[in-house]
Amino acid sequence: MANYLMEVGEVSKIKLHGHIDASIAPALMEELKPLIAEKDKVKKLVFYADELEYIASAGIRAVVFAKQKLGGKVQVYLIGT
Amino acid sequence: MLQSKEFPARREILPQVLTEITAEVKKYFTDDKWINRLKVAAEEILVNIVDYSGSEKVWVSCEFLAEEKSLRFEFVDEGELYNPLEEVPQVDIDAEMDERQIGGLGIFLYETIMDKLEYQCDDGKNHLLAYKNLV
Repeated sequence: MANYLMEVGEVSKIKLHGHIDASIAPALMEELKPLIAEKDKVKKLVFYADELEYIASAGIRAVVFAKQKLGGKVQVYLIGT
Repeated sequence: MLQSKEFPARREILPQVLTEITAEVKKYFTDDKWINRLKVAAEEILVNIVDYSGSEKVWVSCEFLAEEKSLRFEFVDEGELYNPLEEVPQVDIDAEMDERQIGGLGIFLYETIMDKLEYQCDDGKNHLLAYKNLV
């Protein structure tokens, strides 16, 4: 069951939550694979971070990785309060 | 005070080490923002040791220096001798995401968070000392 990836489509959605440290970030990276496989249909990627408590560089790297793999035309949003 | 404690240098033990470090930090810092920042700094230092030093063990200690009002962390490993502070990579945090380099973010984070960093080579081991003054 996906922990982070909520939806793959024209507007794809990822919910960042809890602690994303170096031991957890590989799971986030793994969940990005189906999104990247469908990159031709993605126009926007939204990261929801309201429930994110902690993120280390390994998690930030996954966010940057997603953007780089999806290509320059995809708009990326990070939403949180 | 967390006296020098030995851990296997593996990613799986990071949560356990960070839990112990955070428990120590909470004795001196009450603001969650700073508790999490110090946890990030400790994690980034540990990840670099675990992933790149080649050491099988890492020793961690944490001590409050009353005179300086500063919390001092010490990370020791017996991997390849390497001073991470010698060539701190420049990270352009204003660069477009498409142009971001993957490496260097960890050291950038802990250098930004901590007030002082020192490297020593003693007994053929790497010692990284990281200080944070009370805020």
